[in-house]
Amino acid sequence: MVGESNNMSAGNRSESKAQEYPLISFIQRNIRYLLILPPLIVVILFLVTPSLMILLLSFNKGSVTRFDPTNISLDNFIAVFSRPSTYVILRDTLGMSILAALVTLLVAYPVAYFISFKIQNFQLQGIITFMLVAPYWVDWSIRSISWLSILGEKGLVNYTLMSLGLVNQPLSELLFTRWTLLIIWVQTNLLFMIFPIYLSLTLIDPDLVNVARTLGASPFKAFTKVTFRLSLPGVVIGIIFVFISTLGDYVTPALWAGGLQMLGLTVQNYAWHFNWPMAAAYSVLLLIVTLGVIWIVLRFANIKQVFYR
Amino acid sequence: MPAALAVKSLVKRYGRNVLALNGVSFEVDKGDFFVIIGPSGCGKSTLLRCVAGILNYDGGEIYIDGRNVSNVPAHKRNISYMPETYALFPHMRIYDNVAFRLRMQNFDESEIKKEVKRALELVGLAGFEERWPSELSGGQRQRVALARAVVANPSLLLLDEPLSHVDYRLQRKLMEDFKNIHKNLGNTWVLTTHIQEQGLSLADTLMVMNVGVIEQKGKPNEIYESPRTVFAARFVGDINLYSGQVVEQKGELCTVKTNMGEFKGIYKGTGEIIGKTVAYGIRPNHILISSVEERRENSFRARLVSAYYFGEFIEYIFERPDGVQVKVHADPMPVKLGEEYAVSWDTIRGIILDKPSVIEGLNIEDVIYGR
Ligand SMILES: Nc1ncnc2c1ncn2[C@@H]1O[C@H](COP(=O)(O)OP(=O)(O)OP(=O)(O)O)[C@@H](O)[C@H]1O
Ligand SMILES: [Mg+2]
Repeated sequence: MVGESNNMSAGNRSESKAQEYPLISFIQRNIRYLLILPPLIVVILFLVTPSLMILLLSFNKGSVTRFDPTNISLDNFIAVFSRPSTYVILRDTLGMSILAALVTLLVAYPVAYFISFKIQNFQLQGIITFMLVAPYWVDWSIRSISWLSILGEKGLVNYTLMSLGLVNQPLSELLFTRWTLLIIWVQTNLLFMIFPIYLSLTLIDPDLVNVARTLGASPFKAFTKVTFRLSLPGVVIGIIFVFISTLGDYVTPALWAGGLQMLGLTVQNYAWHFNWPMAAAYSVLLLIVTLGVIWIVLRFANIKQVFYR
Repeated sequence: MPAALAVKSLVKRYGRNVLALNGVSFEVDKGDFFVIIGPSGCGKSTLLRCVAGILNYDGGEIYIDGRNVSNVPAHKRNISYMPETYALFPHMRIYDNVAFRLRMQNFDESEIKKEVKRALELVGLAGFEERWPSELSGGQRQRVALARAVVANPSLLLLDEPLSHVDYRLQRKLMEDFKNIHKNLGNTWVLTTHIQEQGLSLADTLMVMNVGVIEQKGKPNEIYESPRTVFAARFVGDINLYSGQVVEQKGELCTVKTNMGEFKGIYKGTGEIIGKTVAYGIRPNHILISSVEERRENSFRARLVSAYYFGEFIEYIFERPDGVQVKVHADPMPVKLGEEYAVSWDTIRGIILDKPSVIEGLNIEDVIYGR
């Protein structure tokens, strides 16, 4: 009884205090929303607003740099979709991105598997991780140039192939073709595939595999039914990373793809020539394609089952 | 008939410093309910993992049903292994968890359905097929793991501490269930525990392990009543231990001279032990308390210094004037703290042990008094 009456008077006291200082009580009640406000403002200012501006611009025919509210039409999109080249660009962009995602996965998975299961030593795991990250500390442009000395006519790859006698003359396809682009995309995205897979692999209780084995699963069956299945969250995240970074990329294609047209590159081209409305229209297309691909990946992977409770 | 499991001189090291199994040898009969009991870290899990084929060992051989399995991979050993963590597949419903072994053996779906149903009924979880492992309580998970282990009736079941994560009542219930399921299936079960009550009441055969070695193997009552080493005697139940010299030996009947006087007891070992320093043990529940001195062979007077309530019994601690204490487990009695009473026991209850452990080089007095 005594405790109760104490509580009541305490409640009264804080209530009266809040009445005295309405600002404090307002902050107290809405602290959660207030805390989220600064990042929200940044996001709205630098992400939502520009996106909306691009969206508006893509429906605008008139001026190339200024939005004119009196001149709204679908003309830009009609132009985009009536060009046969658009479909070639779409095909190449999607094809190269999907290829890059698959090849990256094929390279990354064994690496992640090896690091998380075959290397027991924590220090060694750390060293290998460091070695994987180290190239990313080199500036992008320098890293790009280094490809010349690897893939060039007298580069490392050709030199090796020639001295092994596998080819008679240097391969010229290594530089400035779509395969160059593929190699570079795979390399630059490797880490972003390895890490999520590595993480989800380390989260797997090794006893799950042990149990599967004693329940009659061969090593391969135990891998497909348990290990791979449980690492799918990492795989899905890795694939999405690759899609996001490749679908809109225009610098790498511009430098290395030998004239291959990509969506991002098209946007850049129009923007370069101050045709902002068309650039905006292609941007919107790019956005839709990217969201669509991610949506399909998540659907295909049946996200609820992948991220099992 | 070959033993269901025979382990010969098994050696397992972890790194350079940990010798987890130091030449372990034993056999398990077909159809046995075999319980391995031992303190934490003594190598029980290591042993089961070696037998299951999921851990490489450094020496020795393992035979399952008479077949040397050194080169037989885990999935071809026709065994089931249930780890301490149960390890239910989190991405599969209960049905698919239990069906795993059947799928691996390419049963057809109608048969799988039947077998899964049977296994889940066996563990009392019929109707849980569609749940996810995360939607079960600890005890239910344990039973699903058991159903998954027994389905398709593997010849050898290896269960690592299958009863350690559930409450006391469920433990008792599961122990009963285990025995019934074992009886129904008729295959060989090997399970580990570090709880003496479980070991004693579950096992057909009990094996007491000490760090990396086997202390004793036998029927539970054999080990409880006639342990061969101080370690085994202690591990299967509470015991009062005193050191003394053997002064007389007539067959099994020996007399031991301790600081508190001469006590008679039974020595189950072989060979002459007269003059040797041995441990004289008496279990707390075999001691009688009375207010008048009885004319029995083994008795002395001591003051009651404390009493602890355990529900089923009360632990009375008596102390002699020389400071030696004796623990007695008895029903509640009209006794008073500080008063002197006579404690006594029958000669056949006196356990005489001449070895502290199978591990060589230990001093028996150090082991008794925990030095
Ligand atoms: N992977 C490992 N690396 C190094 N040492 C290990 C490893 N696994 C177990 N050990 C050591 O081997 C010994 C036996 O371990 P084990 O797990 O077999 O014990 P246990 O009897 O099952 O214990 P518990 O009752 O606690 O489960 C312990 O000293 C333990 O520290
Ligand atoms: Mg263990």
